[in-house]
Amino acid sequence: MLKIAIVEDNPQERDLLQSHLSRYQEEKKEALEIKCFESGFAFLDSFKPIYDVIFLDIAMPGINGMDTARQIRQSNADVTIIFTTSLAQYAIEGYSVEALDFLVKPVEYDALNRALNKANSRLASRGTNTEIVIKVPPQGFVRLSSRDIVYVLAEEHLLAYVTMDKRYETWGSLKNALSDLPEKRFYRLGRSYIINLGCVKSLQKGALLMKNGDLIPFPKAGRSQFIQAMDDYLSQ
Amino acid sequence: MNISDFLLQFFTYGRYAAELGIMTFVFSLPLKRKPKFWTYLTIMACILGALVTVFSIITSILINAFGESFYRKTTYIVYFCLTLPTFLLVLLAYDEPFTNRAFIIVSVHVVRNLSRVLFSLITLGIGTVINDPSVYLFGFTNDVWLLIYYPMWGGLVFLFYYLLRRFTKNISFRKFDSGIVILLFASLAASFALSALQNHLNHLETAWDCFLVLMAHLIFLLTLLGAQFIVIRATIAATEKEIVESQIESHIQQFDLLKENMDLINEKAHDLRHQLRAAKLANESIDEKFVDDVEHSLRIYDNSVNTGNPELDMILVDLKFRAAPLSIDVKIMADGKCLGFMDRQHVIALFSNLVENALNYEKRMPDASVRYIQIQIGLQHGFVHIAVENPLGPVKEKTEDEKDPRRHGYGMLSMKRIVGVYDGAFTAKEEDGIFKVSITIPYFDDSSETQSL
Repeated sequence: MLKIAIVEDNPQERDLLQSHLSRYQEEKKEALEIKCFESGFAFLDSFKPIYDVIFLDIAMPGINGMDTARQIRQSNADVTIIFTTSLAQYAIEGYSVEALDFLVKPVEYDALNRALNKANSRLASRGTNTEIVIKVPPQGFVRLSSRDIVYVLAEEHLLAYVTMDKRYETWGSLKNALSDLPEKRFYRLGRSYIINLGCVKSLQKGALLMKNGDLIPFPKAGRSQFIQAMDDYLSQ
Repeated sequence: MNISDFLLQFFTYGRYAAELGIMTFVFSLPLKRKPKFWTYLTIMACILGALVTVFSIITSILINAFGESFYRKTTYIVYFCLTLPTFLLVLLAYDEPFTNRAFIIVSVHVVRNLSRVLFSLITLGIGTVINDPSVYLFGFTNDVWLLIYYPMWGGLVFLFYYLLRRFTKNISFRKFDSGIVILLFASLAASFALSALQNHLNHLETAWDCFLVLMAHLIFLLTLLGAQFIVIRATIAATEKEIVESQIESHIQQFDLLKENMDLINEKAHDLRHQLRAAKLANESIDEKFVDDVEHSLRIYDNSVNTGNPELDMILVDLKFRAAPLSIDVKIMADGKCLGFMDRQHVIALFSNLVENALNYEKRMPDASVRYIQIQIGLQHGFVHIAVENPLGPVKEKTEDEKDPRRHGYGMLSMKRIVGVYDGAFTAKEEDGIFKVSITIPYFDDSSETQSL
């Protein structure tokens, strides 16, 4: 089921979006759970990272859509944001918050159809939130969400699953670990690392800076393959 | 004249002429033909047929009169004469630089000699096994050997042609270096000399002597063949570089012209708006709404695109201006500031190409309601990501570039080369009826913390 939030202050525009989404649901035979919010503040006050797609109006009183999106991105990097706007030039900034698309008001069904298809395709190819279970002595078993894993490091026979603030050590091989993780999101880097492409923050000289602040050595050999893998990930 | 001798010679010379003719025709397929190609082909085929007949008659008479040794000494003159029509066909019937045509001529003879040498190695092996020196060097005495020779020859012709097309990527040749082709001809002459030596070896010579000569000839021919493909690859690389650079230059010139025109039009429009306002102030009876409407229509190149990169802004504004009358919906989400590390010329050439390709395709879509171009540019995860997509459908007719295999595909090559300068990845694919171009480039930041790879 696709969980959708509509953040729109204009009731007519909200109704129009809901009507289009109902039509989409019928045509695609896809279950949608839709929740509406009248302002950015209302959405942020009750925000939980449960949504797959957020339709966000740019021009709203109080906090506008762009600032709302920035707030969302601070806590949920993965949710798909689709802006709705009557002023196309503002959408140019949409990329700064990694918006998937923008729809010009009044929103037409064809445009919404295309945007939702892209959202679905991205969700499917980047991997939904796969959960893996690893045995971590002495705690026992730990359940990890694949999105939370920043990288996996192999040190001799130990595997370390590193998240934003924790490190879980277990036994195993990188090859087996890679097979449990979503294919296009995780990349085997050299002999010791599997990295979450979505957790790369920036490129430094000879290293990748990950979102948790760790630096991962980035050898010259295999760079073109890594960049191609990143391109495959970003183009989904 | 002995009829059986005549027939034997006719068959021998005829096979040679047919082999040369077929190889010449096949290897010349990538070349551009002149309008009178088929006329030339017919004339040369007739000349070849006539030469085969005449030489068969003369040879059969001379063999009877002067014996086998005289034949062996003069047969090269016959083979040379039989080669001339195919030479002339390639030189006259194709609209290509001389060096390209010479390259084909050399290739035909290299492959033919190669097939003979390889076959001789087979017969040498068989002759050694059955202890019959008479079959050491292409010494078949009955037509059974043809069943081995021609499949092998056919295989070599096909292999060479396949490699030729693969290396030239289905586009026609470009101009080769004349010096290289002269060298190839000189090498070919040396190969002919080796063939002569091979044929003059007495059949009573040891198998080992024959083997050494054949191996020398074989290595020589393979080296020659290898050299030809190296020449092709180097020339294609140089040609591609030349074409891509000229394309980039053309885009820059078009961009500069566009900027000049935009500035001129905007300047005139600005003046007109001022004059309009002045006229309104001087005459209050002029309708305000009318003035607003006229002002709006004068905003030809408005500031609706402001990505932070002035070159990109101009290209995208022009795109919107050209797309509007064609009912192409243009959606842009772009942070042009992240392109700051790229050379200005590369930004212009890359995005001009991307935009032009999408625009040219979309305007030919019969259903205007589905036309759109979506452009996204921004920094993600330490990489500049550029994504352009447009829907595919049944378009009306191909452009001139798409029809001409020599010119089609250089736009993509140009973009790939530009992306390659920055160690980026370039992907173009069709997915669910949408054509998507995706470019990912490592981000170069001016700050000291984040540096290039």
